[in-house]
Amino acid sequence: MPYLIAIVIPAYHEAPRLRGVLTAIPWLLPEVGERRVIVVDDGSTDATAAVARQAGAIVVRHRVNLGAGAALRTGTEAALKLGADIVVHMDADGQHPPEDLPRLIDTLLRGADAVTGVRAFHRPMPWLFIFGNRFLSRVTRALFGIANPDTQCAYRAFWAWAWPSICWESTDYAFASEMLVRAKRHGIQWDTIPIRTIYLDHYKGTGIGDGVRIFRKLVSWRLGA
Amino acid sequence: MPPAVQLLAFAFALAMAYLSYVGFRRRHFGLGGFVFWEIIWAGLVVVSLAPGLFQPLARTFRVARLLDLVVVVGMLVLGAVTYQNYVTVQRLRRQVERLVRDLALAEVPEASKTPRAES
Repeated sequence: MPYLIAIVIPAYHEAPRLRGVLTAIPWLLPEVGERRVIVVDDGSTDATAAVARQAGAIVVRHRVNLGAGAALRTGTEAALKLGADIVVHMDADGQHPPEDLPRLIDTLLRGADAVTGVRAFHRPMPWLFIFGNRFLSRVTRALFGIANPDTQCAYRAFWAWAWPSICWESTDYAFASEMLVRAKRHGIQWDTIPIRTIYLDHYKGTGIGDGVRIFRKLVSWRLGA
Repeated sequence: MPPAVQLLAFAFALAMAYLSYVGFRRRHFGLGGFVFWEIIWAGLVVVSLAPGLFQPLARTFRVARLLDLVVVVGMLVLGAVTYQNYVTVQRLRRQVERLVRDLALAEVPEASKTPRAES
């Protein structure tokens, strides 16, 4: 059965790198199905939306910047509205290797409900991120019994039917942890596959403040708040 | 010459009264809000210029000077205002998020209107 696969890419001021990402996304195997690329322009003031349209992507635009969690939620809901069977999340800055995409899909086709990439925690990943990612993954395991070694990796795919079980409220970077916690509580089988680690710059995306917020939210979810 | 703390309170009250007037003229809040804040600042002006008028009130609350009582009450009000601001900001944040996301999703066609290509 051919599946409609929606690749959701949240983008905020990513015009310089977005074209490369969009052109690098491989056409999936014919027997797997059709793909649609949805770029969520999260309130950018640069040419992010125009670049995405020129590359043939469906552009969903936030009038103001809401954050990565909100952008991915909008993109996922747009994917479901388009009738997607499988939803893929991918970063806009080129840090998620497109060549790993078929392996993500293949993991779903082999029986997983959802799958996340796992990066190698060594260089070129900055030391601070190595510590932060390891720490948050271990806290998540200790508090919820989730054995995902890279809970903050945003390269993932899941079946559309799993959406009600993993739908998150966080508008910030805590959404990645929140969806794993919700999935665990609803019995979603969440697999992981190793992916290539790419870091194009050191100080973009999450920072120390985000890590502290994610930790605080993990504790509050554990306490039932 | 009044103590420096009284002069400071007086200057602060005048400045805040002016800012409240400017906020009202710019329609940041209505007439009710303007009158409320002007009464607060006018009260602070009176207390800072003539604290003796309210000294019995200070004795009732067992504080040495009326301005000390004003400071204590001010701290309590500040806590309440901070809480109110927090609740309001959280509510507005959720409303803005809902609005922005609804506007974005409104441009996405339903599945039935987007034919799926044969693969």
